[in-house]
Amino acid sequence: MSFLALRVNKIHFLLAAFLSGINIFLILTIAPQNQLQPDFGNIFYIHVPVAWTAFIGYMLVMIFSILFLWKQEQTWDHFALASAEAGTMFMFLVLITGPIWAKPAWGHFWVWEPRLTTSLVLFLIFLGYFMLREFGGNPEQVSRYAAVLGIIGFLDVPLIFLSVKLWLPELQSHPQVGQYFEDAGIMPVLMITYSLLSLLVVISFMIRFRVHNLKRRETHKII
Amino acid sequence: MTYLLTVIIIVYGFIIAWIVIQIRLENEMKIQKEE
Repeated sequence: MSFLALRVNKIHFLLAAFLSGINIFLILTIAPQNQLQPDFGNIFYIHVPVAWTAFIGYMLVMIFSILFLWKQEQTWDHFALASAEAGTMFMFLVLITGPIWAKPAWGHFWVWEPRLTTSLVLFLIFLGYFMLREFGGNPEQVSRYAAVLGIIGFLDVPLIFLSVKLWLPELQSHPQVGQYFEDAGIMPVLMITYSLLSLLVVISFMIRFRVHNLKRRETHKII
Repeated sequence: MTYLLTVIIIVYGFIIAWIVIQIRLENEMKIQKEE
């Protein structure tokens, strides 16, 4: 049965399409604007939920990797890989949308400040994760190494979150944690975007898992 | 507004393209398997 033939996936897609419409409408029209950043400040309503979603993807990698090391069942390994792919797709979008906002806000596309640098490091760690998966050699060993890397890689997520506190204030370009959330009006729009992106990360995760499953069956057949 | 629209187009375009590619890939693999 193909992916879209399943009822639950169809419902996911319809819900995602519906939320996407509402999401774009809200961001372009109703969402409260930051007075210092007209229009382009609303990028925040996409950039922040995309980052949260990426972190959820990486959190799943850590959970599935722990379960794989504990239970030694291959399915957890495939779950971890599918989550890493979904998470990295969103992390890539964070690194694309951030500079587009930074250009009008800071005057530069990229500044080597703590949060940007730690985000880039996280992305690179997971590029390394995929390289390890692809070129690591013995599949059983690679799964174990990848699980350990997935767990260690996740440690960068709290570091990104706390980077605005951990490094000296004069090095920071990002606002402090919670500074943006003082205005209660922004929360509904953020939550709608976040729900939509969570749905999309689940869809991405499920479909990648199915693709991996098909590949695995194919490989077993050849062997 | 240009920056905001660029971001919306990139994010939606990328996610939609990625999901469509994966669905096609899955279908392709299914067809190959059946053959």
